[in-house]
Amino acid sequence: MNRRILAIDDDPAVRDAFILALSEAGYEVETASGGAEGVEKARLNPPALVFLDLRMPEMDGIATLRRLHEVCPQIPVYIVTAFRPDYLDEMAQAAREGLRFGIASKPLTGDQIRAITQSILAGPEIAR
Amino acid sequence: MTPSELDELQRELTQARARERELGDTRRAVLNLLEDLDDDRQRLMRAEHEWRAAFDGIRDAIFMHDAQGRVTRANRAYLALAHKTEAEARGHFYWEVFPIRDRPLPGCPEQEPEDHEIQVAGQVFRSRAYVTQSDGEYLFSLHILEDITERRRSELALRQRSEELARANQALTKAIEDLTTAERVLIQTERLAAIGTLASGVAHELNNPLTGIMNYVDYAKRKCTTPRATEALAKATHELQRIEGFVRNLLVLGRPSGEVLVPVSVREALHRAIDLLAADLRKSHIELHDNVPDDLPPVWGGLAPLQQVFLNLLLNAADAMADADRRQLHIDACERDDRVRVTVSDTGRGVPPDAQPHLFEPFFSTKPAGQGTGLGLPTSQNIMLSFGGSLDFEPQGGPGATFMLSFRVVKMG
Repeated sequence: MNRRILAIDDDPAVRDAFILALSEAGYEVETASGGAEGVEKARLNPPALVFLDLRMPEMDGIATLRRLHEVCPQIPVYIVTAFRPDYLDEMAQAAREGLRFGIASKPLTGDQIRAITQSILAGPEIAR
Repeated sequence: MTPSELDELQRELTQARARERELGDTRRAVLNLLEDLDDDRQRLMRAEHEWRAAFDGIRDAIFMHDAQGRVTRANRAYLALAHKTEAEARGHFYWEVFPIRDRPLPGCPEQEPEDHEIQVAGQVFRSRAYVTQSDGEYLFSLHILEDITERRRSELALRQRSEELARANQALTKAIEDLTTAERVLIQTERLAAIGTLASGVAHELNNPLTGIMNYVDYAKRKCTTPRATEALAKATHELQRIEGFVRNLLVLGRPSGEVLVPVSVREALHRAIDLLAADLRKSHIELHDNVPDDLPPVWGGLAPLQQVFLNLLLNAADAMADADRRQLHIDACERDDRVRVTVSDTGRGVPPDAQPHLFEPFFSTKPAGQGTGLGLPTSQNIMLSFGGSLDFEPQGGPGATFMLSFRVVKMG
C-alpha cells in the first residue's frame, strides 16, 4: 500500500512539521519547496496524499493544484491554508472546474496532520 | 324868560351835554367790544380750522359719541372706513359700523384705555376707548381705531419665518449629528479595516512558524524522557495554544466585511453562546437573566460571527464580575424602528471613564496582563458593522458595564 505523503510548502518549518508528524507514524514523507518541484515529484512517484500550501512564490497553490490534476488526477490534495480571503474566489473557481480538494487551516498540530492523513489513507479517497 | 327859568335851561343843557359825552363813551366802548368779539370769532374759527385739519390728518379712525353711542364727531379716516359722509355719520350708532365690545358705560368713572383687536372687512384694528367726564358728569367717549393689519401681517410672517428657521435649524443640527455619527462609523470602519489587513497579514506570517514550532515541540515531547523536560514541553504546548488563539482572533479581526448576510435569530445565536459558557457561569456563581423575547424578528447577520460577538461580551462580563459580590448578567432585547436592540449588562467593576474612549481600539485591554488580548471588542464591533449594525458602550448603563447591540431587522415580503 502506498504510504507516501508529499508536502509542498515554501516554508522549511512547515515542511519539517509534516516530516516530524508523519515519519515516525509509518508514512514516507517527501517534501517540495515549490509548486514545480512538487508536480515533478508527484509525476515521477505518485504519492497517496498531497499537502499543498496556497501562498508560494513562483507558482501558487491553485496553479499547482491545476498542474497536479493534469499530471495525476487521482491523487487526493489537501490545501493547507489560513483562509486568506484573496484565495477564496480562486478556490471556488477551481472547485467549479471539477478540481477536488480538502482544506485544512494552519497552524496544524501533529495530531491534526496525522488525523487527516489517516482518514484519507484508511477511508475512501476524498471525492473527486 | 325869568332868570330862574334861564338857570333851569342852563342846567338841563349842561346835563344833556354830559349824557351826550357818556353816550359817546358807551358807543366807543361797544364798538371796541364788537371789534374784540370779531377778533375772537376769527381766532376761534381759525382754531376750529386748525383742529379739524389735525383731526382729519390723523390716520387712525377717531370718533366721539354720546352716552347712547350716537356719533357726534368723526374724523376723515373714520368716515372713509364707515363709508359715510359727515352728515350721514352724525347721529348714527357706531356699533352699527364697528363691532366694538367694550362700550364705555355712561356715568362710569373714567376708564383705563383698554386695547383690544377688532376686525372690519378683512382689516385688523386696535381699539382704545376713553371716557371723558367733567366734575363727575359724563361728557363724551372717544374711540381711536388704529389700523394694525400690516403690523399683524408682518408679525405673522416673522413668526412663520422664525418657525421655519427653527425647523431648518433643527434639521441642520440633526444632519450634523448624523454626519458626525456617519463619520465616526466610517473612521472606525476604515481604521478597523486597515488594522484588519495588517492583523490578517501578521496572522498568516505567524501561522507558518507556529505550525513548525508546534510540531518541533510535539516531536521533542515524544522523544523526551525526563519528567521535568516533559513538563516544560507541555507548558510550551499550552503557550503555543495561547498564541494560536490570539492569531485566530487576529484573523477574525481581518475578516472582510463583504460577507453574505443572512437572516439570523438573535435568540439562537445568544443561546448557542450561553450553552458554551453555561458551565463556567454556574461555576463562577453568575446569575443569568435572559430577557430576550422569543418573538423577535430575524436580523441581518451570520450565526457563527454573531455567536462569537455574544461569546466575547459574555466572557468580558464574567471576567469583570470575578471580584464582585453581586454577579448578575442581564440580557434584554426589543424591536423599535426596524432595529433590534440588545443590551448586555453586568454588575461588575464597570469601565473607568478614561478607558471608555479606547474600548474598541485593538490591543486595548483593561484585564490583567496575559488575560485579555484586546481583540474581543474591536472584533465584535467589526462583525456588527459588517452586519450593518452597531456595538456601543452605554456610559449611563452603570453600575457595571452595559453594551448595546443594534441590528437591522429583515423585512418580510
